[in-house]
Amino acid sequence: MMNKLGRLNRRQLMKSVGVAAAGGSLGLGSMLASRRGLAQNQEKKPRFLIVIAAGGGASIIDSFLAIPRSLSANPGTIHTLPDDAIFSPEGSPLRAVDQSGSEAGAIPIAWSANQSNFLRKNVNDILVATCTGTSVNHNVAQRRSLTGNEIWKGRTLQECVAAEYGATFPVPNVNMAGQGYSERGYDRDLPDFAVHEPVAGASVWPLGLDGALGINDLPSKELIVAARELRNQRLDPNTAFYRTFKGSKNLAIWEKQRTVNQSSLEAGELIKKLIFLEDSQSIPLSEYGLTPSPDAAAVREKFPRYASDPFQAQAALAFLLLKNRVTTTVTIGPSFDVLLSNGLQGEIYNPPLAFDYSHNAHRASQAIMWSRLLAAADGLIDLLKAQEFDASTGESFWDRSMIYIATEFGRDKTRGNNANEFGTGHHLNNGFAIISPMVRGNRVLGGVNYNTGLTYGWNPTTGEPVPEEEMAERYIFSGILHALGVDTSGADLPNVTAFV
Amino acid sequence: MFRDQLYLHAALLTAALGMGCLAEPVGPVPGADGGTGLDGSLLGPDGSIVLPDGGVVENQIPESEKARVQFKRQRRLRADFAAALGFSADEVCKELDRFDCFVTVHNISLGGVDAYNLGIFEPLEETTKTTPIAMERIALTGCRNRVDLDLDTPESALIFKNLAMDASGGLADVNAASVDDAIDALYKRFALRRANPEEIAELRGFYETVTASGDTKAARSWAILACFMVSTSVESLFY
Amino acid sequence: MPHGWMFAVSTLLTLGWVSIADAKPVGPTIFCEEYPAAPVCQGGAPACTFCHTAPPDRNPYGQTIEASLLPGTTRPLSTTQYRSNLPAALRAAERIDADGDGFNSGDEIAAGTKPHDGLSFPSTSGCPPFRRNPDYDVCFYDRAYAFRKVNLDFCGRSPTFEDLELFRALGETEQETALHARLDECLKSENWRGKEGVLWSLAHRKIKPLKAIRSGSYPGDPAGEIPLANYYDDYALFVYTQIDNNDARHALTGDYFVVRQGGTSGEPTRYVKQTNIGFSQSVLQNRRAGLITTKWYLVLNVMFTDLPRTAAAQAYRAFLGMDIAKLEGLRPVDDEPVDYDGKGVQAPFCSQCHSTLDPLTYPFAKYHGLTNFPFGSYDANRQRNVPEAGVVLGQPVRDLVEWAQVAANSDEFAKATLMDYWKLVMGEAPRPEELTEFTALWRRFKNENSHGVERMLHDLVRSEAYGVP
Repeated sequence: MMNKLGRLNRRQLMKSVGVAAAGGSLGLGSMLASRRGLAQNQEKKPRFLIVIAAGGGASIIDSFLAIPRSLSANPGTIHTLPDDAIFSPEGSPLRAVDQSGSEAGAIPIAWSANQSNFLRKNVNDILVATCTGTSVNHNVAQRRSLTGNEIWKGRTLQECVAAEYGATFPVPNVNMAGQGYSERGYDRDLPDFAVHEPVAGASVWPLGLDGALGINDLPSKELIVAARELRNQRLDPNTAFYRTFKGSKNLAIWEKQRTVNQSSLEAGELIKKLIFLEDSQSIPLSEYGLTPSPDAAAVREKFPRYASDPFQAQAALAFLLLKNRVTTTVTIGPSFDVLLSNGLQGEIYNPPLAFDYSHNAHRASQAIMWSRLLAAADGLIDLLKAQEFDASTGESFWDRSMIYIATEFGRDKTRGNNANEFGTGHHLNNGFAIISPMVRGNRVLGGVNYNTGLTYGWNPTTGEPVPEEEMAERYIFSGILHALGVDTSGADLPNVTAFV
Repeated sequence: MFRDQLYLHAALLTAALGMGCLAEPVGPVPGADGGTGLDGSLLGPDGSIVLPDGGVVENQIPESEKARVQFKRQRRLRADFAAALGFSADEVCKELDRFDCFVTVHNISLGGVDAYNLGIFEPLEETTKTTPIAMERIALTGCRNRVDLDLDTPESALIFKNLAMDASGGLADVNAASVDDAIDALYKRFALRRANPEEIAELRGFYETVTASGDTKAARSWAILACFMVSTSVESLFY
Repeated sequence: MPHGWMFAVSTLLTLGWVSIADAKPVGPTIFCEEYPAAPVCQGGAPACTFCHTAPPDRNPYGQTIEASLLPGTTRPLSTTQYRSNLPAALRAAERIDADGDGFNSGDEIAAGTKPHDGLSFPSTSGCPPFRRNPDYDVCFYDRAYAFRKVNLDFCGRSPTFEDLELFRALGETEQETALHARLDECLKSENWRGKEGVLWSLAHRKIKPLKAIRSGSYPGDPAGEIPLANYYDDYALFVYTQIDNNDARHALTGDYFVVRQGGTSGEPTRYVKQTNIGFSQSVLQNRRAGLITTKWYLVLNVMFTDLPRTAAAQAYRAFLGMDIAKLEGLRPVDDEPVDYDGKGVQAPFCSQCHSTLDPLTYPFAKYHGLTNFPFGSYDANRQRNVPEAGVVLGQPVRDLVEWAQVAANSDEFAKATLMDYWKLVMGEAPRPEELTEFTALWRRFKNENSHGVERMLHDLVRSEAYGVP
């Protein structure tokens, strides 16, 4: 809008500049402009963050910091575990719990859970950092586990990583989790490419990565592109609707998405790289000119329940997104939905409300869910290890990746006297597992008091235990970003170098 | 090559305007009042603003200060595409002819929710990187289905009526009134207004691009893509 | 479902030790004493995030206040120091452009924009325009624009071209009549009131359904694998309170249930009020409080918890529009929290929220979640050590029924109800320049409109915010 003198005032000017920068002028110039300023990070060799959202409260004393009964002065009332259920590699502070049961609370299905295989295999990449959070509200705590309690202007870890490394990636930040784990950060200064792309159905999501591939009997792609250009450059801009509302933020976003983003997504024919479904009678991909990803067979072998278990499908897609350099950070997580393989005759894939089923059956829930998460992590690590990232250095993708098991909080540390199964509430005190060759693994930052079940703090630079302190979420946030090489200057984060 | 072709039909604009292709007015045309604007600005004869120093700000219509525009989102888009293309809601688009585009495959990126299973209770505030692609897939599928029906059963055609075709699958006459009518029908159905002469000329001109590409079903391809362009215009997808 | 399946399916969203160091709940109150006419003070005090990011960290505006608040005095300040000196610090800070957007904080407070947010600043209106836009009347109420929008917002589809042309051809008065007639038509449509319709979707955030534990089987829509309670009862009750100008307060105060009928084979969906509803609900009539005492609500939010803070926090958030986890709506009660369940909430960092939340919660403690089959019932003997009386919005209440009445009659309820619909049709919260109209609308909703949502929606459609493109 002009003022009386027909001049743009400062605000109007800012607005028009903003629109143009976001692609509002529809031309190549705006596309280039939107990438300008991002180039500074293009030469930085990317590192990858995989967040596994452990919804419901993954208790660290039910996994890597499990307390053997024999070590506690209160073995019957604190949540300890039988010594023979706990495995620890020689000389390692890390532990794993292998358990089985004939029922999970009131669900009459036998279960068996294993953590030791994962620990044996990956012990040198596993770092546990204790933490005492600030909320036992699921949604709030989920978010804080990713933002360090909003310490960097409310940015999520994934947004920080995407902003650092993702400028040239087609979809730098993909999020398949739900609730607070899929919330966007608060920082409006974040580059828009770093905002996450939500994915609800991992198996079919790749179909949304090309405007025409997989649709039969269409005009040629060249003609479709020509039609887009006509629409974008001549038809739309001249409509009264567009001319009247061209100051709209939503239209500016749209312009960028349908030009810069769409071109970037389609250029790589990502559909063909990311589909992991089998070409079958029920889903005849080839009839639609589609073929599964060259990696599909390997992925399906690693995650064989991809068709019935959405979490495995997420893990499958996560690997393909990383391997094909589509994404710098991906978030996956089991839902709160119960998932049984075959009703009461089958297997419990996912108890109702995931880790939060601990309210009723703590041990079974924690055991089943930890086992489930670690199996997915293990599959991802195997696949990423097998993929070369940089021929000149011999690095694999795994060498540059980190898995962060995010969770809301821990669980109550006490139980009825010698109860084998019991319910637990939410407890702020807990710890996080970080798995990566980029951290100094086979270590615990802080520790656990065997007599109370409570974890305690650590020195942010040396990693030495500090029994009288507890660590807030921001220390985890900062430590992760430091390990990932994210430039945090100006963020006013605590200096946490103990992860590496 | 195709980009060059795009600009060829600029020349057709004049022809279109001069031929009186439309029997009726084609929607509001910006006025050119001259005199004084509503805010006291001096206006030139073409509606441009004359600045005190004698400079001129080119003719433009006043923009919305609020500029509040919303993406229609999944439910409304499904209803509008179904109505515009003359299908029931579940006929508009299916990925791999199996999975409903709006409900199953592209639900979240189109601004839908998944309250019962995923706990996504509210739609995303903004469109995502994949939203335009999802919309194009839906438009291409729906338009293809509509065009094939209209061309295969002309007696019950809905949008592309009476399109005369030659033996090679091309339009017999791109300047035929039936072509203009089809374009006008697209705008009425997706943008709720008549097509203006410039738009008709642009879409008619696009046929040159199609034929230049060597497309062997030029009429069909043109019809699909004309439908595609209008149905995925911002005017169709936002309100 | 076997009776023995009394397991703790839980989303125990208990709000526990929210760490707030150095944030003073009295701050918002003092702010509104200083700026009583500020838009942000209309119908409630601003959230702590008006000055803080995550307490104790301050946003840019909070930092300017901090800099003027007894500089040089040792921190933390006592409450007395804080209370006495904050007004002067606020006045000093209002002269500063804290967020660098070209407007000082005082102007932003007066305009209702956010003094800490560089992207939020007072409007610079360009109306009247230099000349009339022939397609969109950008400075005036545009009925054709509103007509199209009403069709999309409420009927869920665009009008046809022909429909719109007919509308345009009408005179001004006839257009006004036709516009509202169409709105009425839409408000009767399946898109608006049917299953999965707009009102249904509006309820998701309040009901928080989870298919896996829904009871009740319907053709093509079987119960979840672990059926505990039927949230379809909740959807029906909510929709009923939003249609036909029924009293919207009944979402919180209704002592009845609602059955959904029809809705298939072209038959319109109907909602029928009933005193009882078979075995799917457990709370007796004199203990009912609309949607916050349904079996679903109690199963989901109380579960096994002794002191179900989640239930109170969710009610506060869903029906009064205030999220305690985001430091909104804090109204500390003297001598609270007592910490009846021994969670340590008296710790200084915790008590700042829990002095509001705990007394808000006590009335919920008399309702079973999953602790007493058939679940979701009232029991005066539950949690005997916890009083049934509590405090909501600063007002003492003897039980949850009274809690709900106080809440439903509040400005906060009216404001939150309007906000739901405002966001639905505008796609965003009111802009600063729209706050005056927003305030007038919720006040009318509460008074002249007698809490009838459809009357409010007619008002909303008449507003400039709605009808000026």
